[in-house]
Amino acid sequence: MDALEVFDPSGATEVTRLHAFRLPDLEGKTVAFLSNDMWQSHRMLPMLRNKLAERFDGIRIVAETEFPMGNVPIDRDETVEQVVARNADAVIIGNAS
Amino acid sequence: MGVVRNAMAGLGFDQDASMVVFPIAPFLVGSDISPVEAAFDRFVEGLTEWQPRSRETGLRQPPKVRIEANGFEAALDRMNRQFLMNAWGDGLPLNAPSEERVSWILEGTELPRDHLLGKVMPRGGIATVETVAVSLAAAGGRPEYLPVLIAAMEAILDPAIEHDKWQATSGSTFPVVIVNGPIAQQIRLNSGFGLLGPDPQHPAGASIGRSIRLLLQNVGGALPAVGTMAMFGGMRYTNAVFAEDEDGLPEGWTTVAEDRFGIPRGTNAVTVFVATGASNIVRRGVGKEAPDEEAEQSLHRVASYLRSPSSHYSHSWARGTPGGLLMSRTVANQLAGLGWDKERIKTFLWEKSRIPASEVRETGLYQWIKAAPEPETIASTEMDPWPITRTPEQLILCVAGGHHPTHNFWMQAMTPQVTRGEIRLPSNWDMLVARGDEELGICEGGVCEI
Repeated sequence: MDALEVFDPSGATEVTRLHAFRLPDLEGKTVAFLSNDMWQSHRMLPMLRNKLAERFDGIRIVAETEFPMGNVPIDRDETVEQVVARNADAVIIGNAS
Repeated sequence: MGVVRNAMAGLGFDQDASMVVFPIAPFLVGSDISPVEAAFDRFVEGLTEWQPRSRETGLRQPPKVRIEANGFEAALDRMNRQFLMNAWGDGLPLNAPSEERVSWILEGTELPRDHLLGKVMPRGGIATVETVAVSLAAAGGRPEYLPVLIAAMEAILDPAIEHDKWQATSGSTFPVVIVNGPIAQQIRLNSGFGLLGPDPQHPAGASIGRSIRLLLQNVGGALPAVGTMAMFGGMRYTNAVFAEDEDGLPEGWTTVAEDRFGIPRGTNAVTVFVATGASNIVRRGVGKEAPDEEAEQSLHRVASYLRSPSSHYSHSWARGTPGGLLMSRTVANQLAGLGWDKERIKTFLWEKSRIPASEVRETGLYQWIKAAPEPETIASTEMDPWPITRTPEQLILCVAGGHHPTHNFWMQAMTPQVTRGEIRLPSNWDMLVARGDEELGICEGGVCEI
């Protein structure tokens, strides 16, 4: 029996951040939206915003239109800082395709 | 899903995300988005109940892979099958990236094995000198190719070229690596006939380009339909890795590296841009035209290929390039003899490829330009006719290709910047080149004795 030992070509990865803990409930929370303004996000995100507002008492929605939109702008640190400044408890980001 | 998971990994998270997934239909123009509305509870669950796979940070270094079989040939065959099953291959046979072969490849650099080149997005796999050497070993490379491969990867990982975006896009992007300087001939990179295809006398471009593809796929996660949505994926077996035909440059003409980065001729240099397609342009007349007439007609014909309402131009407009035009030494010298220097050719093509504002609107290009991130690109919608790039200098004109007058080759780009990498030669360079000549035959005047 011969053996070959070879490198795994996918290389190493490093996990440096953990996902945020989930919220117990959305009532009274602030949910922000970010949009790349693509793939019908201009229709889907407003629909989701309306449904969240209907479903959860005291929920505060910060619409995607209040932040920079587009693939590049939503990838910027300044945009993240704007979301933090609005005291968002959670963020919905759309749309990927 | 893979694209998003990769993107999360690229941001430093585990390769995991809270997502609500749909087939493509609701994302299309005029679609029925009721499936999204019906899935509303899943959005709520994503914010309240979803749990990630991992709650630990840290480095994840995969172990080596052990393959057992009766005999070396059977082991290599099994390794190739296992690599395909692990989604690490490209469908063509690979060499075994064993410690022995990788160490041999590493003779091509004095950088330490663990020297970090960067994270390959969107997956965020870590590219070190060793990772790059593993890829080159598997792709059939040689040690003397390593300095060009490292430089090309540095250029690709330069944040300015935004590889995280073109890696994942539905566009069939591929990096174009243009090499200047004496290293091109030393390692037998092709600059002449068939330079974008297979050539046993000039095998370096294929191995280096294939290594880049394997790195983008294996380390970067650009697996078709999982990590890259490239619909067609053209030119992706080997990308485009070639040399400029510096010996064929007309007198006074500068190299691509000089044009773009001011790197003096005779210095080794790597220039990278990202292309999305390629067109062969028949530029020669039937032979009965006057030389001036043929020259101008040919440039008009080339300009007509450039003058396309491609949204990709809007990505490149401010600081990138609309693309690279390959022109053989035969054509370049013919044009130069008629008074066409490089600057005049670029300016002519820039002027003649402008698109009337009416067509910009008619074809929907207007909305794409308006969606660009740079203010100067957005402001350019006021220009009529609209130039495909901000300045003529941004067009790449590279003297390369077979010594023949008939064709030009155009590689349209989607590249927010053109980047460069540094070529570092090890102190044993002369030995590596001499050994290459001994093992592959000596090349002189573009022809190798095999």
